Amino acid sequence: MASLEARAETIKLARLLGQPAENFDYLLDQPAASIRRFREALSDALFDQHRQGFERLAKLSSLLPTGITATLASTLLGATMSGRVAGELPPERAVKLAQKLPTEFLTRVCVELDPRRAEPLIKQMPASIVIDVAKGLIEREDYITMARFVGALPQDVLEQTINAIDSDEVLLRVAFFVENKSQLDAVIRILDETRLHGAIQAATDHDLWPQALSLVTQIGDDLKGQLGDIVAGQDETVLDGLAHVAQAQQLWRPVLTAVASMHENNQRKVVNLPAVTRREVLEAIIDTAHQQNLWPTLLPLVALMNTKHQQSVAKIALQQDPALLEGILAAVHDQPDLQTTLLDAIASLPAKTQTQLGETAAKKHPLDSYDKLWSIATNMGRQAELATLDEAYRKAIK
Amino acid sequence: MANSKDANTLKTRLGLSDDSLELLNGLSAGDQKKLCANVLAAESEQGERVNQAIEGAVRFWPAPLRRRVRKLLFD
Repeated sequence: MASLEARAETIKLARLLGQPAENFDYLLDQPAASIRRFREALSDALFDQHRQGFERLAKLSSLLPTGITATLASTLLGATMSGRVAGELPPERAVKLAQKLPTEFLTRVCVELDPRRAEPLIKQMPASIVIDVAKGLIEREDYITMARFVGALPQDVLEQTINAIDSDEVLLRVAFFVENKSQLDAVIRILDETRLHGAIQAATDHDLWPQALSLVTQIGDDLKGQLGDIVAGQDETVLDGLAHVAQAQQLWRPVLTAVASMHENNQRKVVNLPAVTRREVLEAIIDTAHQQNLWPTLLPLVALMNTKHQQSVAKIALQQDPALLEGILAAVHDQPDLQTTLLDAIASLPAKTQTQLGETAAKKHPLDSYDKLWSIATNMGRQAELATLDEAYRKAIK
Repeated sequence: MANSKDANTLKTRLGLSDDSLELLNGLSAGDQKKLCANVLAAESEQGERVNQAIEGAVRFWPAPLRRRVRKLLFD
């Protein structure tokens, strides 16, 4: 499945090449970072090829009064060429020109502008123009272009622009496409609690959980916790919806990251939700933890599960392939807290289940692997709690 | 490292680095060709548009001044 990031990068590349995005569908399965590297290098190369021409056009415009240059830009050059030339103009001149141009044209120029090249002029653009253009881009549902400018805008203009955007859905969509992820924290810190709640509600109302979860993985830990707690505060229907999306679209990694940053009482609430503790969901979560080395994140959450769910986790983990137990044992190595969690989960199993698991484990896990688990129990003085499992394992392995 | 014929064309014509051309490694030969053709078409179209824009902009000036403007721009 194509990632949303790859789709966004493909759209930007298509625009650079003046083609419809669907002509580049064959790129959608490529890593977004590769498409981006190619696009940025290409943008620079295409610019360099005709740099002299852009410089000449910029020089020509400086010979004319601003009003005439504005007419020339909107009638003769068009938005694409104006976008290329804009970065070559002295910023003060570009601002004066922008003040003479209709918002609709400026909006189209903005789509063509390379924010990396035009940063000095973007930094000097008055907030009123930025806000008008932002509104024009919202009308076009061009969140990708809006996101490209976040990193180039001064903080106060960014703040005024965000405050001028009423829709929390728009903010969420734009935030997802922000290129300079280090700017995301700055954007989120501008939003008050009400708007953050609105953004989470928008994720539910407009099927934007993948975007919201992608954001959560990229922000600072304190903000992760803040957003995570807002998510946990939603009613159970919303959280069930989130679990459903995470399961359908394999988004457990960002969900685990978000849950790990919540306050403990919220973690306890989330990890015991019926939608999270279904067997197939737990299997997917365990598989994600195994494939993506997330046991240190998952095990503390398992410790907060009710005994019944801990038993389910232990059963699933011990019935999976040997590499999974090896992964868990590697994760808990030298981590007494995690070792305790692991042993708690196994020790909580009823004797009958321990026996069954011991027999299953003997078919899956060789003695040297199993002995690592047993040595943890021994070192922590908890052999007695795992005695039934151990007896069943050793009997079966013979 | 991208080293197909198409990658080499992009390296030579546009000076793109191996690192930036890594994208091509994941594409079939047919898709590499399509992408390369699109890039070269955009390059040549942009060149034409720049030249047309300059000519059009020079014509904005009254006829007696055009030669001087052209000289100013191209010398």
